[in-house]
Amino acid sequence: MRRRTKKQKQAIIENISADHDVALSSDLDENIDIIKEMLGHSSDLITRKFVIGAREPIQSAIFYINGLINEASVQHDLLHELVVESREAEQTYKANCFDTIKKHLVSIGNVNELHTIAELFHVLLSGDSIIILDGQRVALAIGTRGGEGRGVETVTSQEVVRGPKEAFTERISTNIALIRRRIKDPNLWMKSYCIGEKTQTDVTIGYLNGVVNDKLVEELDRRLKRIKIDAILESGYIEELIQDKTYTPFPTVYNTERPDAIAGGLLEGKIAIFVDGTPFVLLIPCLFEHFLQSSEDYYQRTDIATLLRLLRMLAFLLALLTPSLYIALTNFHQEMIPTTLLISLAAQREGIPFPAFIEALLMELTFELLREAGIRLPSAVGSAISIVGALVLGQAAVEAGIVSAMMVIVVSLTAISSFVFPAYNLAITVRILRFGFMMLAASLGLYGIFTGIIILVLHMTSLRSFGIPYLSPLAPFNLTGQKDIFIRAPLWKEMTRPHLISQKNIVRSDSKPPKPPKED
Amino acid sequence: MKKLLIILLSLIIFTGCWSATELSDMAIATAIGVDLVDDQIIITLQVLNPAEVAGNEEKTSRTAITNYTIQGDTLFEAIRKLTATSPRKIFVSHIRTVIFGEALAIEGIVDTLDFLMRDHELRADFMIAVAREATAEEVLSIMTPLEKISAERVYTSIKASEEFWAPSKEVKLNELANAIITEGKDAVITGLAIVGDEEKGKTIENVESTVPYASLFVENMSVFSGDQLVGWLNEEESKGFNFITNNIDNTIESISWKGSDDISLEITKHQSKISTRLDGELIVEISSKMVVNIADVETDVSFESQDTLHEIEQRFAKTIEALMLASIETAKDFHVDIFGFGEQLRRDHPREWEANYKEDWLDHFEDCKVRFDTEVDIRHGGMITDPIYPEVDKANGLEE
Repeated sequence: MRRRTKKQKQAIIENISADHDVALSSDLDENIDIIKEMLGHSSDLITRKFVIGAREPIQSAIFYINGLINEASVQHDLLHELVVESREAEQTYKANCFDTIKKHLVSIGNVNELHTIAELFHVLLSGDSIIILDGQRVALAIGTRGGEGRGVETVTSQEVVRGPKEAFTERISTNIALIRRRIKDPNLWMKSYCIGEKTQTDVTIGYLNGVVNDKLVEELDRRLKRIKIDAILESGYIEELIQDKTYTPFPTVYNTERPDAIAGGLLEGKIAIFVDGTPFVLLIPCLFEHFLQSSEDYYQRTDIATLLRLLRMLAFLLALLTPSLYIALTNFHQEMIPTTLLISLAAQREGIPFPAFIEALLMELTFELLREAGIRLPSAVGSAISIVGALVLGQAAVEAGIVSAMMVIVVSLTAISSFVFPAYNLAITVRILRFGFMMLAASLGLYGIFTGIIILVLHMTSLRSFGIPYLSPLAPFNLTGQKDIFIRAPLWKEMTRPHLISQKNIVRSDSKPPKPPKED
Repeated sequence: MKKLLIILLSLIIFTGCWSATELSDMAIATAIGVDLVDDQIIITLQVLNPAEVAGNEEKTSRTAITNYTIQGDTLFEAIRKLTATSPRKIFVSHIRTVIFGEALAIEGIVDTLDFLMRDHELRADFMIAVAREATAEEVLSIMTPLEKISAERVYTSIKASEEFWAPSKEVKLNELANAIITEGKDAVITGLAIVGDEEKGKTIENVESTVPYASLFVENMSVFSGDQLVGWLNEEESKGFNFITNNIDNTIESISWKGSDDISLEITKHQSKISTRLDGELIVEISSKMVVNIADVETDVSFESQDTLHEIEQRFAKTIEALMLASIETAKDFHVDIFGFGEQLRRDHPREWEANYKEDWLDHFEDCKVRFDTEVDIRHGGMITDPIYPEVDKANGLEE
């Protein structure tokens, strides 16, 4: 076999891409050269040449990326076997060498054959070790993925009092395992994609076959395959590329780092999207109600859960409307305020230099700044923000007579309410809308606020998440769905899965209400 | 996107342009007083100084209220004229009381009522009162202890006394207007009087001493014929009026047992109903039921026997009936039907009302017979059963 010239090699390297693949050469050195060349002689590519067998030695080489592999397994289960053990064995490896190697030498479970350079790079850069043999046009990929990563830790963004505390991690295999551990059903199916031309990110969708709507899986499959992008660094990329509508303040894809929330969603007939490299797993379809529910609702007693849900809905309205209602009432509808309260408000506003709207805008803006600063600050200086925020801005501003005490109360109430939602992205939605409502209130009073609410509801009813109306089961109305919206009915009453999401296998529970035993 | 931008921009630009008023740009009025002096309407407007009423700043020695007085042809004109005197726009939605001077009430109040009912800024939940032997301005000028705003003081004390003291009644705008307009019914309005030194009562000294120099007193009821004041009921008659019109929540009434007024009973529940009967002649039936507690006994009586209790109930019923009768007699003297007997007759017998009574109802009212049917039920005797008086007398050696 004639060796390719340097020029030819260069041509091969330039032409290789996902679309245009090149088969491996049978020449060991040429393959090594191509691989090294394509990685730009990167220092973390480890190449090791060695000889297999003593009787009929085969020149071979192993490649792996330092840091991506499980060091121990490469050393003990691979190199030791290949280099040391193969020499003592009686067999020859020349004929049918890959089968023999697979059967006798490699004590690692996951072994695949590779035929092209692009394939080779994909698995190499995912952390597998590659073995190539002289005279063979096939390479072996050995599953040695490993390396450093974060372990399973407690949730940070959606904490609960009662319920599991473990959260997803950055590693997709761990995340899928966390779900498998919760749903031990062969019908829990996983389907993998590789998205991102440069990042080659693993994206896996998971669903409960037989419960999920097949059309939904097809639609998601279509949308995922449509993605043409160089990089997927976080599940937010996927979310933005598959959501139904971009220009809306409302999120139509749910994300969580709680495995129990994802498991709950799967059991309702939804689809989970795991993305490698982020602890945030997506769930579709996603309706508005999900953002006002916490997985804890199902772990607490039904009455507590119902109360908390109603509280969250109140918080949603408060966070959205408190400043605008304050502006509307004090600027336009003073006759609606009880006399004694009006007197007290008027007393506080004596000498305040700004109109109520500007005052509210200033304080809300300050709060948003504080909040953003609080997130970005290193935790060591984080407490400084609260001191500045509470003392300097709150108290001093009131004492200096620049803002009224009532406005500070209004802004604080708004702030507290916006932290009540279990979902952070709805809190952001409310933050955006709040300013719009404040403007409406300042220019048109209560009339403006109600116009705004009507427009908002119209917009929300027009939204769809993978074909499911965003406000269902409220609009379109579905009676059985009401068991899990404002109230959380006892589990033995929630007999069916959500109406629009799952039409197959809808019976969830056949339990009878618990009763004490009959006495004779 | 473009549309959205235009909407957003216009929202920002138009902010505050459309009939918005900042709280600090308005003067909150709490009371209107209307007087008639030399055929000119004099308006007294009580305006708040909010910082003195609420807020956490140091209070100054300024008063919490300021009264503006102005002369005008109509109420509305006078209020607008006030803007020249007052530094801020007068805001009348939070009016708590409207007080008519006695002189104006005698002339007729209907001109002012129209404005009060028509103006969109006004809420209709204010209290209406008539100043007795005083002008509204004088009443509003009295500095009141406890409540810094005298209008609020008037409002709350009328409310409280209506609930716990029989002769009082709160009269609000709609009720008053109805009573004036309705055939077969005339209006009453609560009275307000100044007791004590009126001049000193206007100064801050009034609230600096434990016994105020002058204070406001919720008076008995004034009686109107149409929109004109024709006279006043006394305390007994006011009580009788409230008993007839089912306006008693809780009050005290005494009967004479051995001496005079020596057993007091607290009425805790009261229900009365007026009905009319045409039996050749017009008979008005007033049936009332009440539940009472024994509140105070200043004589030697044992409540152990049912007969005694029955006797007390009987006598109490008679006392109440006497009050009601006195009230009706006075109304007949004034030639006004403040109880709404005529209205009741119209409802019970509309045809006869149209045919025979409508035209000269007040003459028929004077001739009508009234029958009472009063039920009294003693529920509780209080924490002790027999009175302690006999024991005290024994201890004092006054045993008979």
